[in-house]
Amino acid sequence: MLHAGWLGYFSLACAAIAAAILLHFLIKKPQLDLRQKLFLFMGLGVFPTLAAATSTVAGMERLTTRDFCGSCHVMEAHYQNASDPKAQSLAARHSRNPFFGKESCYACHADYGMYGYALTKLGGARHVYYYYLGGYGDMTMAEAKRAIHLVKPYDNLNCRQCHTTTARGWRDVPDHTALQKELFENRVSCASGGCHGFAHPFTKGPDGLGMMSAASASAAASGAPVPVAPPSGAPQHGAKP
Amino acid sequence: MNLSPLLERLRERSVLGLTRIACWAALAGLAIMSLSVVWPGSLQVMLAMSAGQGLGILAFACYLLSVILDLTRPGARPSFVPANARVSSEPKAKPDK
Repeated sequence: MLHAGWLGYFSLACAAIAAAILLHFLIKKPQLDLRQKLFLFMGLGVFPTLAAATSTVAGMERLTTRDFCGSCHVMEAHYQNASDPKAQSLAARHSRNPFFGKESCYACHADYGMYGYALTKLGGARHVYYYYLGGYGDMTMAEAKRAIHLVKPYDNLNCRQCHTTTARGWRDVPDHTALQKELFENRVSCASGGCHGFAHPFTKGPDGLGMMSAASASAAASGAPVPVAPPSGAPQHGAKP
Repeated sequence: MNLSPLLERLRERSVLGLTRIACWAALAGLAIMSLSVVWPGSLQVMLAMSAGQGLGILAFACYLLSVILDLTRPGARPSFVPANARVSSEPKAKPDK
């Protein structure tokens, strides 16, 4: 139901005032004099514009929440892991951040830069298309884990919006300084098995270390369920090869 | 054949009709936008930002057109009068003897 806060209530109030003016005109049929025209201007111009603007902002805000991202069943595993207070995955630890934890999916997956917001929303529209018309909506969780993947490799710039890589604590780690160029050029991912671990390790095989790890292979040999790797050429989570 | 009374009547009807269309379109748009606030989902928000706001723009355009038609109407009457008021203001016909 209503989660948009005061902006949502403001939008509904504007819509209600506009509707009252319009219904009054339609039902009472008053003479269309100057006073009535001004009333209609409020009911057809001013209040609907306010309602449209605030409902757009409220709607967009709502679409950035983790609850919303988890509302599609194919994201259920990601949502549950990120929301688990005891989970230690990268996504779960970031989702416990008091500043952006409730919007952790958006905070980590949104594109940044001049056109970042628009590009992120376009990407979201593509998700809607895939969910309703591209077959994602009919997938089981097992099929979703196999088929759904990042459209492009994860950009380290998204990590660096908070972890600036300029603090002494970061520079004091030898691996950071040794791999700084590769990290900045996205040739090594911060969220890879050898570094800080995958953000959503349950998508990387039973051990959470990656589809092709030795442990995954042995698990597969012993008959344990192992997710099938995405089609060749498809972008995957983690580091570029 | 004098067409001006017919055109005048048509214009009056258009003004009233356009205003009513504007009201109904705006109500539909407002309902869609309110729905996206009460039940925010991807489809609802997209519908509100496309169909809802489109209906709102259509409504305002109809309203502006009706105002322009009303203002440019020959006869210098500032606005039309609703049908019931017009009937009551006309002189009553004398009964035939």
